[in-house]
Amino acid sequence: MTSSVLWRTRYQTAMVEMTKYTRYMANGGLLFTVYFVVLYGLVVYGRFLDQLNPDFPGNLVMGSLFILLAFYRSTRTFLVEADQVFLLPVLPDLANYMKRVRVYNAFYGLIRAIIPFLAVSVLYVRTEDTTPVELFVLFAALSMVGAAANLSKLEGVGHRIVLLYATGAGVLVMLGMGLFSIVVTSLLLLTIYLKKQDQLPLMDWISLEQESRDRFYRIANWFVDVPRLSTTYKRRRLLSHLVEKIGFDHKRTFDYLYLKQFIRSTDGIGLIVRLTLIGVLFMWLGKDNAWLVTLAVPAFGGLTSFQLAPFTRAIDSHLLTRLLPFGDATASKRKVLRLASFLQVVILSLAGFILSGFATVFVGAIAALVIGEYYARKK
Amino acid sequence: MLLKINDLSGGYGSKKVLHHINISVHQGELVGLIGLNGAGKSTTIKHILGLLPVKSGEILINGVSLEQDEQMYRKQVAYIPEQPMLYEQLTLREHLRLMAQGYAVEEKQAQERIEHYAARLRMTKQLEWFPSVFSKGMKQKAMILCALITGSELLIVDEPFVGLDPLAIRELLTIFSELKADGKGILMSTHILETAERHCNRFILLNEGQIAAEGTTQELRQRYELSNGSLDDIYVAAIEEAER
Repeated sequence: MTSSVLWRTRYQTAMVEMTKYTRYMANGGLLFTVYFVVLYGLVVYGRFLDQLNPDFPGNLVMGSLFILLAFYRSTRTFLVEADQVFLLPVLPDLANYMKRVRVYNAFYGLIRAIIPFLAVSVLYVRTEDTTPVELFVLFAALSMVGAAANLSKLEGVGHRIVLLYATGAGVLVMLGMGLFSIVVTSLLLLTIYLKKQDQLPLMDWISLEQESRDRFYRIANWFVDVPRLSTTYKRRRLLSHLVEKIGFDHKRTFDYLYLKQFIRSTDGIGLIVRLTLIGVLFMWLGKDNAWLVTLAVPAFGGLTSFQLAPFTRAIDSHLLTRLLPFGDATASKRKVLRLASFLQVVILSLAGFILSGFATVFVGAIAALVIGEYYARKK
Repeated sequence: MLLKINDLSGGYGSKKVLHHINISVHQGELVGLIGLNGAGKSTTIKHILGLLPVKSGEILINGVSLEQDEQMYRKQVAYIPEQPMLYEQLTLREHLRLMAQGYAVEEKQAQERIEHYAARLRMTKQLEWFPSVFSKGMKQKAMILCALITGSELLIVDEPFVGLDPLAIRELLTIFSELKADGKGILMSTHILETAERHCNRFILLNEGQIAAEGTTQELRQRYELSNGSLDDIYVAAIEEAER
């Protein structure tokens, strides 16, 4: 099999798979909530920009973006597990395939920089004396960071090297020397180029693809069952110890199972923490407007409840779950969802009230609890 | 009688795999379920576990069918699958607690069983581990522990020796002997005929969804006129006869 045939078939297969899941996702009700939250975010951000003090340190935000973008690395190699056997005979002839994978990942890194850059640049132009040339250079440098982050993973270059260069570029932007940032990011790309692998590191690239697919499938799994999704779990000793306190009663079997799942999976408590923090941030940005703060509670509460609702799906179909004679799975699931929704709504409303002083947040809290109950009852 | 299967026909969806089979397992008995790949062993097991709907016939455990009393039925049967299937988010000890709780085992008794069986299968050290770091053999031992912890009357075992080290195989067979002495019944599907011959009380030979032969080793030798034949020889003779 030649490099170009391999690339074409793998790329097409991956795109068909992605399109399939994206279509499922587009049919889901979550998209409505996502659109709502995005629109809400834009309104809040727009108001924040309108009231922005010209002394606001826009250069610090732009500089921080360089560092933040370098933190995230995502690569696709389009290789599958079976390739460790079937691609072995042609491994030395896959230079062209490697080149295409590199181009794809560099391009993807560049694309990833666009939206954050646009979001920050509208703030930057209001607070800094800048020119179109400087903005173009900043965008080019930021795109290079995005591309380099992805490529470094492909070439086995340490993440700390990317972070180091990106921090250097970010500091230059913060010091008002944004035009020089491109020199640092060019050096970063040059370093990665010099360390590029000559022969395809088959096992590493297969793992990278698996990791990347899992990330996509985890998102897709909110909308539709994704078969054989592998997930990593954290032990979370303190919370786990609390769950162990559940009575050793056969009627509470599923309380135990679901709470363990809830505290250990990133789609459980991790999801609530992330969305609550973002919700609080939004409320802080829109704290002068009662409606924005009030709506944030049901918006983020609803988004969390929607995403949490299927959190037991993976274990409900598990063989051991199906064999368990005792316990009420539905009641236990509802219990966990209600508890999670209640705790999040309490935190969001208190944060909203403390930040804004508007008592209307408690109306939002009631709406959020109603949405949470709807998803808890939904089969 | 612990397990009684009467005139069972079944399969996957519209595909009929089993045709009017009758199987029984008595208390204190280890019954070997043998047959070629695709003979219907796993389908039979899935029907017993209630994972596939019965098309016709009935399955009773201690006289109770799944339809009559699902909780009572399920409580009396534990399963060791061929492919280990563990929750990725639970440690081994948490699996065992869950199984004990789900099968309504007393807490104190559950703790005793966990320590006892984990030590015998050399898994004490692994009790706090997540399955993602287990070897294949460890996963299989974990599944065995999950079944043993339930204390169920009937144990359904599908290829239990795959991936196990020789010490673990020996210990598992000793545990099976103890369970038998304790009045439990075991239905074991296996391809390791030499081990099965030494430890099973009876055999059921499935071929294309039907029972081709059934009985003790001695009865099967007489049936196929192989006076000194091993179970291997009997197996080959039975399959050849069935295919003729």
